[in-house]
Amino acid sequence: MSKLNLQAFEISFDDEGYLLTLDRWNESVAVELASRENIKLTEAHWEIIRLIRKFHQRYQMAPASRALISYVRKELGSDKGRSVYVMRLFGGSAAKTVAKIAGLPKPDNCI
Amino acid sequence: MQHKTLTFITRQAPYGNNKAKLIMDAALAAAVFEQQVNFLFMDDGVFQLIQKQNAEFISSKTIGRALETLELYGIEQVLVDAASLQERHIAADDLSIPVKILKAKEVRQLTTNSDVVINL
Amino acid sequence: MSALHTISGSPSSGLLDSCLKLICPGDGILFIQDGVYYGCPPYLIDCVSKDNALFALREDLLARGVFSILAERIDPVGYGRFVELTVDYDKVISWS
Repeated sequence: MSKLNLQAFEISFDDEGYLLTLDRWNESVAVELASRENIKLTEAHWEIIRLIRKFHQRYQMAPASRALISYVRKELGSDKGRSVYVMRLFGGSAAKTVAKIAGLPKPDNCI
Repeated sequence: MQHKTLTFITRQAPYGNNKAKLIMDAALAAAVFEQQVNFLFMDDGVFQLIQKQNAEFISSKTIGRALETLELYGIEQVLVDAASLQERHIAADDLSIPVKILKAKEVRQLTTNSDVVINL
Repeated sequence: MSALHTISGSPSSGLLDSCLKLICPGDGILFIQDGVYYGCPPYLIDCVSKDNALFALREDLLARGVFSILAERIDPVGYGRFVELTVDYDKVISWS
């Protein structure tokens, strides 16, 4: 288990780097988590991060890639609701990476 | 990948055990593998479709929320056995997600036309 | 000697039928977990004698979205009352 000291909070992660204490997430944590994945967050990233958090809040689960893309298409339109768009932002395992940065648990049903 | 038709039959009430959650996860996983998935509510499984559930009262996750994701996973065939609804006096327009209601004969056709049938 | 019978399976479990085989006048039945579906239509509890008080755990009803269709005969109780009931009756017999 790794730990990160940020703003006097001690935040715990599981062995794969997912946040264990979901309520400790904030935007600074996201920036730090993204940098661990070598991603510099732009507004386009934030849009997807906010969306996946909304998904989690609504459906009480983290989406696998197929559901994430469908949801992006539904909420942001078909230009962005494509694997290639999301993968360009977050890499090949986009659903896992977004979940990690957004402070969610690892998606169920992820291959 | 070869495409098969898989029918998942969910027969348990939502919170008494974890079987409802397990079979839904299995169906979602099959959908991720781009298989043709049918998802059928039968017997006590139709209790999952009751509106206004709130599992926070028992420190659990409300299953209705997860059921709404079936569509996002590309599962279009969300079905319910008419007899199971009738036995429990649950009206078709009282259900929490859009489903297609099947008569006994159609349920049999569904399973006959499936390569794999999994029920829990 | 009166007993409180707790039933924790849905009507498909047939637990109420088993319970009714040995229930005595003055006993109570408390429906918990999936047992609370017994309190919903088609109201299988109609066959329980009026000599037996019926209760259902409120939290389990609310979680399952069936609080509003609970049979009038059944008294919804919270956890506090649940504990009181287990004390008020001489013993508890659980059906699961």
